[in-house]
Amino acid sequence: VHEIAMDVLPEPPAQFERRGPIPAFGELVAELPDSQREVLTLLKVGGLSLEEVARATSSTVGAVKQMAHRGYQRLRDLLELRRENGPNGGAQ
Amino acid sequence: MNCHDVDRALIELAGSPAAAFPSQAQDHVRSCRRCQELVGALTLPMDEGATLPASLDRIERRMVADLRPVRPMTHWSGFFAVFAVVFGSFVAFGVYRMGAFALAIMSPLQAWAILSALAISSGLMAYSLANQMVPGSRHRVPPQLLPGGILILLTVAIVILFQFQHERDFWARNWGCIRAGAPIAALAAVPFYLLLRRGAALYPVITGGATGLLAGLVGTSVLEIHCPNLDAGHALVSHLGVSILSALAGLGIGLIAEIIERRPFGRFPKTRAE
Repeated sequence: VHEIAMDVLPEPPAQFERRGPIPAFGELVAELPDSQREVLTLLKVGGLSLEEVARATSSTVGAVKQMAHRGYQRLRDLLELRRENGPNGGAQ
Repeated sequence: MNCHDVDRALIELAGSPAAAFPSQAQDHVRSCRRCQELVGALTLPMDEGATLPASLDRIERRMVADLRPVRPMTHWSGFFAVFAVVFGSFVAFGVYRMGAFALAIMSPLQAWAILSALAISSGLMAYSLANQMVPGSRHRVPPQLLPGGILILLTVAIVILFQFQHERDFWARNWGCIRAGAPIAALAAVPFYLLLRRGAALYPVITGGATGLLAGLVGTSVLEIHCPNLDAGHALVSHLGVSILSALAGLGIGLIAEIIERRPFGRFPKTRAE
């Protein structure tokens, strides 16, 4: 998944350069609500499929997708905050 | 294509790694800073030691909270004993209510042979049912063949022990015995069903047919002890007929139960609906 995603990433233009060091994935998802953190961790770190995550969390595939979508949205907001406020200013 | 569509592509990609990241999504990521940062974050090194155990701990806690203590399943011999006691009680009750007129008319050999055949048949059925209730039990006789075998055994026993006689009002007499035996079988089926619920029978059709036959054998036994008509045709049609009718009823109920369980919204849905 992420090898493909890496290919997608262009060389960052000058205006996109981050101000500080990039946080670790665990550090980023630590700021998400429990349910979103759990789903994203199981999908990305655990390598589970949507069905497996749904079973593990006593949920449905639809709910897992929704949770992952909200998690991604929240991650975007967090990353934007970090970019604007610096690495130590984005945390809530 | 927008950020929402990129999310969807990422989720689908996470769910099925063989899928490809859509080219439209790639185009959007190239032009959207927020999506670039997100995709970049997803490629960051993973600290499994810190993130995964915490999630697993939460899942484990939730599973443990859902667990309820269960009582260990009774050994098959316990179920067999209860089947035997219920069977004997209902036969004794039926004979007490209706009388044992046949025993006074039959020769000792006829009485001993037919009652032995019924006892062996009922014992085999109870043994088979007790094993069906405990998954993984070893079936010395295939449960799907046993009911047929027992009906053949009893048919042969009746044909050998009793003579065919031409009698008047054949069907009327038969109907009288069926009306007397069928309610006893139906009554016996109730405790058998309640007992079955204590086990974990996996094949409702086979178990339903076997339970119906065992309940029917209660009716057949009572009629064999009660009915003074020793015509082989009468015994086959009305006495053994009660067992056959009861087995068919059990088979039908088992079939309905299996259909209900296999429906998507039944007790054991095959897959969770998305």
